[in-house]
Amino acid sequence: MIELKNISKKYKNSIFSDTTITFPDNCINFIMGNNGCGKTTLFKCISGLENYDGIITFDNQPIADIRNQLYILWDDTPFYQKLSGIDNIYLFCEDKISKRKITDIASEYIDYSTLKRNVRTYSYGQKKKLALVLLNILKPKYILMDEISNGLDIDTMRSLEKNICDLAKDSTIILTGHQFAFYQHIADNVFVKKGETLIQVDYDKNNNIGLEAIYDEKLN
Amino acid sequence: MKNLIKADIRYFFISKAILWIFLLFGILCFANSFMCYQYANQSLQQYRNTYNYMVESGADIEAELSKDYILHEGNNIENPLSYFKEQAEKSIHNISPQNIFASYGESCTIFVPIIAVLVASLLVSHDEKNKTARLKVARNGKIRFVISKQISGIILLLTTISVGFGLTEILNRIFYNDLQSISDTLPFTINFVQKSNISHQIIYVFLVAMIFFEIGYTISNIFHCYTAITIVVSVISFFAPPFLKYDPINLKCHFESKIFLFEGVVTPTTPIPISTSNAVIELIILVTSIIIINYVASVKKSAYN
Repeated sequence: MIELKNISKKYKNSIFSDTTITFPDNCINFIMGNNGCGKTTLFKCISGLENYDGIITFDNQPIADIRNQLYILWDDTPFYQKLSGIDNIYLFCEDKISKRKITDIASEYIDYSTLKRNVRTYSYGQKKKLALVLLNILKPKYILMDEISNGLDIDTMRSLEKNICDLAKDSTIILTGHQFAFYQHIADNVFVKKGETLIQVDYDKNNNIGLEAIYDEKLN
Repeated sequence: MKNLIKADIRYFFISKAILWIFLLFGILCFANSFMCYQYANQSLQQYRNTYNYMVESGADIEAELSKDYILHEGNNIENPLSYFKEQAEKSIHNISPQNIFASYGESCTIFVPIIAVLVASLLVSHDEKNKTARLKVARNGKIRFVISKQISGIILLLTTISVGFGLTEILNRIFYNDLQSISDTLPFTINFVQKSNISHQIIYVFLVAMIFFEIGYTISNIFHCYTAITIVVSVISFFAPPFLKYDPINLKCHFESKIFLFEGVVTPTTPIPISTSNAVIELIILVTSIIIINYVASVKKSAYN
């Protein structure tokens, strides 16, 4: 469970003002909002990259106590561009598994010849797959995914859907994105960034009301 | 923290950055050792030429050598045989096995600041340019991230300095053996007293490395001027004299003049006079200020874009 209490964040303009919200355990939480509304800023606040006013706790613990259980899958998937995919995973996997095991896990997402190439030659989608490999090795308890579905092919999106559902059994997951068709099958809870606050909306993924309808209703 | 340090050090090896650093430092060490050898060779040759000339002129060599030399203006030397003998003795002593660390340390006064700043700027830039700092900071926190960089930098510098010393030791032994085959026939007593003991010299080299690493890290971290800072420190190290009594270069020159004899090819820069107690106070203030600036800059840093 990730709890935000009275969170305020401003640059020149106020992004969040006195926002209090809870992201429940073992659920897939989806945040929708317009471009530039502050979804990525929220991830930066949750992970402590940005300074903010208020309190954020993870199962009642401060971030300092759970840092190594948190992983953010960024939209721009930062990796060392001049190193190969396999070397990048080796450097970021924190010695959780051997190099041989890395290859085994990574091969489920990316073929071996691609893994041996420098990351700068990767497409946007291949970088996302590499980030997913790392996520599956680190197996964190708190997972934040920023626009994860962007740039992925249909097959990868299908396996990602299953992957996220499997991870949610033991993790708290927060997703942001704009491809509603992908998220509406998996989201358990939906949150809308409206104005300077974040609100939870009633949502049942088995109901016929889709995310697009919620978006139209709340944000248009 | 351990994972971050391992990741940084592994990055330097996997990306081969450490090999380029070893290569650069190796070339500088080789250049210094070779120039010292050439200098010793020339000094020995000058002594032998003067010696032979005096023998041919029928001079009493023993009497000539027992006199002290006097250097006059315009490079005129009174009793040149004594003078050239001392120069040859000093330059051979400089590359002799019992003087290896002092000889290496003298060259380090110029080379180590450059390597320290280069390592610092590479340590900052590889995570900033690839935006991977975000991944690391999110899982480890800002303070651990910065401290791990300092420890990684120190480990990389200690390794580089050790590799440089190993290389200098091998080169100096080869060159010394070569010189010995000639100088054994001459009446040399290669026995000089050092200005300081070897532990002071080692501490000095590591302190210079750490202080310049901190300066390089802090400036790179705040201004993101990775190449510029390395070039500026290289130019300062090789050419710039101290500007002010209390500038860090003057501090470096002050301590190096107290620690090394400078018998080799490295010409020491004359420091602006300062008392050692003031220099120590200045050193403490300098190091504390850098650490505080580094800490504040790292904690205040937010975006990691």
